[in-house]
Amino acid sequence: MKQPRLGVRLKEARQEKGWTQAELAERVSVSRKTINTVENGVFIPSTLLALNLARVLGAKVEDLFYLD
Amino acid sequence: MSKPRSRADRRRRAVIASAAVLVIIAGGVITSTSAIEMGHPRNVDLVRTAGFMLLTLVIALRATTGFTLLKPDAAMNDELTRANRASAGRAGFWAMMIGAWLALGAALYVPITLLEAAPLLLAIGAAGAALRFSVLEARGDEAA
Repeated sequence: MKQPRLGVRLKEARQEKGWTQAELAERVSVSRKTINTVENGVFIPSTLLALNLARVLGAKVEDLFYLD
Repeated sequence: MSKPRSRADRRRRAVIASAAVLVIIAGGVITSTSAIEMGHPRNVDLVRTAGFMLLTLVIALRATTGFTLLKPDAAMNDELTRANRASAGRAGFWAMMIGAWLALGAALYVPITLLEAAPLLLAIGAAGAALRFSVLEARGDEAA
């Protein structure tokens, strides 16, 4: 069975808030690179980081990440 | 404004990585081929070998662990960086394994002493880890 891929809507959620990658990174205490690679689907974040991102963006985790 | 800065950053990383690899390998070759009299190393041999060992140690630590003499910064050691370091550690391990296999095979045909093989294996391991880490970190700078 083909493994599902992780879809990401983080960029859209961040832009709705009007934040830069650096501003979001600072709010969740990670580097801008981490936000960049998560948005590009290069890096799959841990559950802890996904929950943290959802909290600071005022969204649910499944609003930010989904199975493609 | 951010694009030229990002390109410059990638170029800087590439230069640093290349220079580090060059210095490591050059140090390894010089150390391994220098004529050290067994049991009677000169002071220059001791200093050169100790310096080379320290260089490979520092590069391996920087590429595969969060070791720093400065105040630790959580954002500089976040989960992406830790994942990159784990990948760099694997790359360094396999580079060293391949180097050891090649050295073992070559030793069947030409005499190779530990004094010659060890510096090269250390150089290959440290350089492999450093290169992998640099490439992965630079990937994080790619444009969104």
